[in-house]
Amino acid sequence: MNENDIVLEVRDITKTFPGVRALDKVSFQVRRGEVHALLGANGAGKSTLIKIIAGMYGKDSGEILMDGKPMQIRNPIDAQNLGISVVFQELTVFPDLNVLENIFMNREITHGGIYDWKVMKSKTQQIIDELDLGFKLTDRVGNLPIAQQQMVEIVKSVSFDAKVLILDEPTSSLSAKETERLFGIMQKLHEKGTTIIYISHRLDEIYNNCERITLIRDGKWILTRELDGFPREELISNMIGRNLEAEFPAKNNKVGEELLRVEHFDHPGVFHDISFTLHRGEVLGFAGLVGAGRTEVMRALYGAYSQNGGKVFKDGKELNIRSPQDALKHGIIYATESRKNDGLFMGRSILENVSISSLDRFSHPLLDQRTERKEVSWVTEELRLVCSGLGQHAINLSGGNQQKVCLAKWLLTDPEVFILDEPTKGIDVGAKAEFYRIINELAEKGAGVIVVSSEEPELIGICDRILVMREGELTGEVCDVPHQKDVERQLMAYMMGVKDDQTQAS
Amino acid sequence: MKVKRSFAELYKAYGIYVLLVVLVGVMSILEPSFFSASNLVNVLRQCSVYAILAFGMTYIFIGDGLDLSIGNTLNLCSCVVAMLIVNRGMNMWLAVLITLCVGVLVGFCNAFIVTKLKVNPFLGTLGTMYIIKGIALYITNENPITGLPDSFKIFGGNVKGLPVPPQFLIAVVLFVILYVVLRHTKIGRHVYAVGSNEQAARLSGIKVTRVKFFIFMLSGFCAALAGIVMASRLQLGSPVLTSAYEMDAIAAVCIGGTSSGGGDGSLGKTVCGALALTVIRVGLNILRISTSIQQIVIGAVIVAAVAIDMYGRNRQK
Repeated sequence: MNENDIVLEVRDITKTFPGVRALDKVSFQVRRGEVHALLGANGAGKSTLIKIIAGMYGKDSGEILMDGKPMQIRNPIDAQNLGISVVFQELTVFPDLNVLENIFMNREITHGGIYDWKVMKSKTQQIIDELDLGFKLTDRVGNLPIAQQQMVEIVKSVSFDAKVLILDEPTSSLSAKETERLFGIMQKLHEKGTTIIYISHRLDEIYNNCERITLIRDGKWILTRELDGFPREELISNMIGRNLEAEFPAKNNKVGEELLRVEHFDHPGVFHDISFTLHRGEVLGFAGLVGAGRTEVMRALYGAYSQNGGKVFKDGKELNIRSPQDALKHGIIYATESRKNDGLFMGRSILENVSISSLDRFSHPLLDQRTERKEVSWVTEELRLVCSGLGQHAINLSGGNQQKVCLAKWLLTDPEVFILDEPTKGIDVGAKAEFYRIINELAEKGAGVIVVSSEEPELIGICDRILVMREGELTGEVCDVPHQKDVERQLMAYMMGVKDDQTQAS
Repeated sequence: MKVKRSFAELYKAYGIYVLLVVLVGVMSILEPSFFSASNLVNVLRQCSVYAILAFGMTYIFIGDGLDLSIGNTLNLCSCVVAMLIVNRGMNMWLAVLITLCVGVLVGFCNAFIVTKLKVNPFLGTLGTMYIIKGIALYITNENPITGLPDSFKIFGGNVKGLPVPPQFLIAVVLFVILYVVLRHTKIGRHVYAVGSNEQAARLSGIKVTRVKFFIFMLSGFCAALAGIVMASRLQLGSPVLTSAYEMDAIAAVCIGGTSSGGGDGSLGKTVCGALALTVIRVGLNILRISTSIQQIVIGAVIVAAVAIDMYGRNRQK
């Protein structure tokens, strides 16, 4: 193979975030003009890698080479100047500006200091015509459907004369028809000689549109090869395959009677006909890709998200849950995914954070602060919270301890149903192990625990049963998880929709 | 680095007290007559009205809101109480009660606009500010209402045998009640929680809307009370009785160290803020410094107080 065939090469890229090694000496090469798939499970490090190439993150060590020459990419503008363009999953358009203004944002073509709209227009119109896109330059971008907004970003990249176009899960919010259109446009760009790096969780898309693939796992490079003649099963097992022992404590919980039953939850466009049961002493996992609708279902169950016509039964009795207050009254709690956004009161003390949902108990009507303090210390000690005192502000705690404060708040309300949304997100390995222990203990005491997690190995390590959601629907169930082998492969298959080949999105 | 950080933290905790001592110290050096009995009574009188208004505003700030309507609510309530007593010949206590209800009603409307119509507090209460001003002008035919009986002086005038102005006692009682509510009850905790993180508050099972109704109605109540005090002090009800007192209340809260942004603040600091504001005003008056310079000084103090507070916050992160 000729050296000139390599347009982009990354060499030994390493990146560490506090407590996590996101990338560990990742190297791979992208050939000129190819469509190259980048694949990895949730949290494998794909996004970090892309952000480093795009100049959004710095790297700890390693090199990026364009056309064989080492390049300094310190910020997104450097990347653009080198011809690297990224369309992120979360679009970065300016919704209040029109198409043309978006495309030339911050690099307007000027003539003696005055915007030369004529040149900009003709340049853009040419690309739009070439790609046969259905919007006008004067359309306000916020009024366009998501798929077309994405096209605006692609046009923007093309107008940069991008040599390498990186598409980060571009189809995750598109319908089947829009997806097809996107592939048509990718094909055209491919024919024009643009190199495309394509990130997706959908194996069909990868097999149909890409030539080669790079797999990363746990921040490490696994393989780069032709997709032709690469069996799906082998691809999946390469994507997973990690040692699951030791991290997880032994399970001693006994799954008992039905505790909670959810029937026919529906929210058009978000989730559809969701029904499941939860038993006493059971740890029930919810697997799925980001955006599969798991969080929304859980919030609906907690009364913090709307749903139509669904029913909830606890111990066989129907509940009417219309707000978090209702859920709490029935002993159902929901610990949110984002501690910072909707979990903690950052500027308030640990004491106030923990007792906020249990104040009724201490209110006579003046607060009995002695009892409050006693109970809060008891529950925080139980969770082994490390702090300088209950007066310490939440913002000054580590991620793992912040998460313990959130959980302490709920433990104090003495619930029977725990819904934990990504309980170990962003906390270090040691703290994770502690959380697994705590979850086990809750189940041992007879509570029902639902764990939503995007880390499949974690679900496999702590759950008795795992449900899989994909694009708003329950697509699979794995029972008796502790005694099964091969669970991860099953989960992957359900999550990627390998069993049903339809990639219909609503 | 270390020294600076501890300075910021110290300032956050004690800054307002230091400022107050310095202000009083400077005044006593420049103008010993500042400490004359008559002047101190004057300070208390003025400070009490600022404090009453600023207590409501402190709750509003802690709950991450804003209420620009209180100055005009104060004026409206002075008219209402005066009209009820003078024009209708109503029993004084009943008139006061009704007037307080009017203030609470204004707060209710503000809360409705903010929570149900989802108008942000700044614009929502800016709107009601104009509406209330218009109502006050309308019901009074743009004329002041005079002829209040001497007995009405009990709220803000001179009361025989009482060494301090009555509004001072009113402010003290209000402070004690509101302090206990804020620090020692569930609703107080809820106000802090809503201001600190509204989403988290909702998911923690707090009825956020109810909390917001509470703080706005309290703010209206405080404005009505201040209106009664001012009407009593000046023996007058007028749609232009005071001007921009909502800004003085905000100034007192900010100088005290309760920052906008919610979830933080205390009534004790607001007392100091109101006192500092009054000392500056009265002090500069005694020193015969023109009102234009007074405005500049007060403005500078607000900017400095908030800037140091923000500096302290950024250090914390």
